[in-house]
Amino acid sequence: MKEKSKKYMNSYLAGFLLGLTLLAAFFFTGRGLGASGAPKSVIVAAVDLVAHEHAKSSPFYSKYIEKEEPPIKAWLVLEVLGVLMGGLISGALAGRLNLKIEHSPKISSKTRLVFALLGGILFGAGAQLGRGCTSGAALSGMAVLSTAGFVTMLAIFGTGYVLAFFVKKLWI
Amino acid sequence: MNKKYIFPVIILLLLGAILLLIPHKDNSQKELSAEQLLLEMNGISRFFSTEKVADMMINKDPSLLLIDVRPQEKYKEFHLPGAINIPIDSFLTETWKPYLNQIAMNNIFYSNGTSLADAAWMICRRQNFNNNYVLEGGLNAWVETVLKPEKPVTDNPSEEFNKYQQQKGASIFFGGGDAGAESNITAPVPKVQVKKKKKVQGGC
Amino acid sequence: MGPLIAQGVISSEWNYVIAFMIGISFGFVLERAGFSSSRVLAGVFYGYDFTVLRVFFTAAITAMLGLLYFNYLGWIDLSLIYVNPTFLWPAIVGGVIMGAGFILGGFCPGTSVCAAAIGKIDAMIFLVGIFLGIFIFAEGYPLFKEFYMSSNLGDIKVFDSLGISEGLFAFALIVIALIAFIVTAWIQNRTKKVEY
Repeated sequence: MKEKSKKYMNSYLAGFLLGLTLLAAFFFTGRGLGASGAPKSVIVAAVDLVAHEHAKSSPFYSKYIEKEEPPIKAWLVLEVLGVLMGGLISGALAGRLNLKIEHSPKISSKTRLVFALLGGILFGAGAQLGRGCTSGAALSGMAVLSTAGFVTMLAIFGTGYVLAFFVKKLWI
Repeated sequence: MNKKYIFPVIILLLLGAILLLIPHKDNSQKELSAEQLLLEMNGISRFFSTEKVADMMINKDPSLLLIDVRPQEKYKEFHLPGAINIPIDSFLTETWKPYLNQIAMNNIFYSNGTSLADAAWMICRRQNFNNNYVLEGGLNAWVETVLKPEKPVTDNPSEEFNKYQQQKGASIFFGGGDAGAESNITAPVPKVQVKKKKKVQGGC
Repeated sequence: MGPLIAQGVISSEWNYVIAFMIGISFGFVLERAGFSSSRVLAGVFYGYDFTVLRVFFTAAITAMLGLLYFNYLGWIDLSLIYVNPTFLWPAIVGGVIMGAGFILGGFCPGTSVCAAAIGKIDAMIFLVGIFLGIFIFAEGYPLFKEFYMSSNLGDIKVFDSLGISEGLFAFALIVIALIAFIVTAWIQNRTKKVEY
């Protein structure tokens, strides 16, 4: 316990600071934090670039490319670039910068990567269907007391607990 | 539990408990209740006196927007300098909504008396639009107090006389009074920069 | 007063600068809290590390209290704040899919960006997966469009859904969070430590 508390910040203090960041986001821009919107903007921009006709005719992409601003310039893209920067700064200060694959000793690195990819695909698709991810829908949604925020949060963590039993080997 | 958490926990509970006690404040643009409307209608805070408006016009107050709520023909016949015309029957059209539902200007409605302007004000209040006011006494009062102020009798207290002097000045400014000329009221309508409340779009 | 940009207090050119600054703060705090490690994140599901629950709940309550008090003091106009609309079933099914993604992949989008920043290769792969997932959803969108748009309940708030007052809900949420903090601390002390 002693060693760990040195490694990372106190969870409650970190939560408080994250809450202040979220509050600042609301105070300045009127919206909360987000993450999954940024890759979406990138995908939309990429598809628009490679296959413009396809993007225009698709009911999904056309929702986003008709806005006057190029989707790549979206607010969330810059915010996520900031997250990358912030993570890098913190990691550098704490001496945690190194390339590695973190996994339970019971599985191989390859298994870990396969499941990471699978998890990413599920999260990417689920975040579209649920209109936001843990930060955009659940956290920001809970802060503004939206019903969707609480529903999404309960669904994410509820499923996590149910499935945790079956994939125990992945983690412990 | 660790002792260092006691203080934050107390603060949290206290903040939560206060929320229980203070009334819920809702800024969303819902319609105003009839009770609230009646309460505001009986108050006088919706009125701007003619002197105050004249003063704002002379000082070119950028937040002032005069809105003539009479029919268009009446507006063409005569209107206050700088006023725009929103006839009361087109008050609910989308075109004028940005002018009426905004936060940048002080809109002052006027009609001949106050009944038409009051009605316009009520329509706006009912939709919970703010920053709209009524010219007290309407154009009738404008003519009486700004264009043709009456000279008070000499035994009136001096403040009355000062007020008259002020009105006299305003009267000359607006082309009434001594100058005797017809009111010069064909000033071009100012371009109004409308700042509209915009609801934020979500991201993630 | 606030939200400053929506009200035109700050010009919208600043929007992107602010986005970047807020992002930095977001990423920094996530990394500091330990969210750059999938094994810290997964700990919440096995009881060996409740960092996620603590950070998440504390942040939501801090921001909620901030917004409610700012609104009360007139510093922010809550009616202008984006409230994500509730499409009930898409939110539930989307949440279930995300939950599965969370337990299999060990990250969520925000934390994976943060972990990728400090060199976690599994996080980078997870990010690739997110791109793929969005692409798959986008290409298959016509198939689930109908479901995606179904059960729209609008911008409803949770206290209205439950039929209680805003203040009561906020107070209840604080109490629930405090109880959860105490209970999870107790569980964590009794769970076998996991080295990572």
